[in-house]
Amino acid sequence: MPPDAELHLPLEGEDAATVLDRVHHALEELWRTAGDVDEIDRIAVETALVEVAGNVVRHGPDGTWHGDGVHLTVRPDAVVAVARQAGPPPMLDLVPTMPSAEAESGRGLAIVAALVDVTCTAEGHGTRWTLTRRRTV
Amino acid sequence: MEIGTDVRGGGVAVLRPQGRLTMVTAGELKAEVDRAVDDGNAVVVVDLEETAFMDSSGLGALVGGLRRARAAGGDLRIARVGGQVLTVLRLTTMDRVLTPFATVEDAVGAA
Repeated sequence: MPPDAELHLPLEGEDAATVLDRVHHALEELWRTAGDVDEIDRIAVETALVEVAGNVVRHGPDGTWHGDGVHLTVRPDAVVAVARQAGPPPMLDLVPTMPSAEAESGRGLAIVAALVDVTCTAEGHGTRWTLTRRRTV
Repeated sequence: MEIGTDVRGGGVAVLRPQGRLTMVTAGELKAEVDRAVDDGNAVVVVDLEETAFMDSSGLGALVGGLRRARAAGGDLRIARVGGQVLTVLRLTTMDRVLTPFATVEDAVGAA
């Protein structure tokens, strides 16, 4: 079955401000094209993907995105975001615990894991993040 | 990001960040909270009506601002949050610490 909507977002060499801006705009376009994605699912995907995109840029060697970018797909049953970055997968706990209320950082991946099914695996010489949000019926 | 500041007197300042509160802009909000507290406004209300999106860094800036305001004997309160911001607050259970107020006046008047 063909996807409801699909969009590719090249991000090679872009800095954090540009990456996040382009992710937000790409999702706006995706939701317009797909038409019927529930607001809860839209919020979940946008929130999770911005955390992952920020993580890719923050931990990159020079504050820019290295790698292909992001591919977004809306299927009848799920919204899938695939982010590809250069280099091996970072050492991350993808089942993180939420830090204490006083902490000013460390919540990003916990938020991602609470909103989507997330995997981060090696793909060739790069890393593939896959975020899957089962659509609200 | 644009951050409007409205000093109310009595040590209260209302900040109005406009746009997306993310890793790119969180430092700007934290700096504005610090400035408000340094200027003698220990109670800082952050009006989030025009903040369409917040990530974990944005939340971190609010937590940092709360700690700064409390260290000065005051408080940081948030008002008029939208759906995405509320989702992040609830997921992280930070809505227990940063209770969202329906209106700015409710936040200003909270004991």
